Amino acid sequence: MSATRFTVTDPSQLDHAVKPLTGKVAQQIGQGAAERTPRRTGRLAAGWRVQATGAVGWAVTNDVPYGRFVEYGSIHNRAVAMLGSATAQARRTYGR
Amino acid sequence: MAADPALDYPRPDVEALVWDTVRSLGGCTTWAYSSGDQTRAPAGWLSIVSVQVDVRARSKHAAFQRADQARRLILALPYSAWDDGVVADVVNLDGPFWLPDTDGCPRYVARYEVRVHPLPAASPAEREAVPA
Repeated sequence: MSATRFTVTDPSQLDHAVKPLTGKVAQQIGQGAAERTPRRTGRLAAGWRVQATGAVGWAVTNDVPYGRFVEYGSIHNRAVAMLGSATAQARRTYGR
Repeated sequence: MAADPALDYPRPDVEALVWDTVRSLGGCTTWAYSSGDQTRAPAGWLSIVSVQVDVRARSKHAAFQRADQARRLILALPYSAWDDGVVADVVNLDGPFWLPDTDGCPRYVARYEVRVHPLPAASPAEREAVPA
């Protein structure tokens, strides 16, 4: 029985193949977070950013200072879980 | 359309399970911010509930210790018996991290994803077999 040998000439091709899919998921999470964001001035909803980080990674961020108290709540206000809910939906859809 | 009888499971109350797990620690608030079924499995087969746990105490150190106790108890859920179903696994999604309240009171926050499989509903014959 003959054996087949494979030689990987470009290991980064795997990353390149996955990158569009992970980017699509990141965009969906970012859009979902923005849609769930409560609006008074619109500053927080407009603050969501989706950026590539490294070969396959993506980051969904929001630099508005009070965003954390909207996302996680506080003793004075209920949490909205904008990013948490969007991420949970993606995890249910795509697995983890 | 009638549901498939094989999948006619009562949905387990994961939020109550998590609360019962940490309530004795004191200073804990738990609530589910997302809940649903895994989309690639039959409906009702695997429920996925995302839970936030806020832990408060008089000092940062006490809040940290309490939050860590809560973390260990919640992550141990798959290894304990539960009458309403089976906890398949628990993932620590976020934290516990330091996020004091807006008035400066000490608080640690953590988020967990709990995946549970419900127990099948008792058949009519099984229900009749249970002594009153």
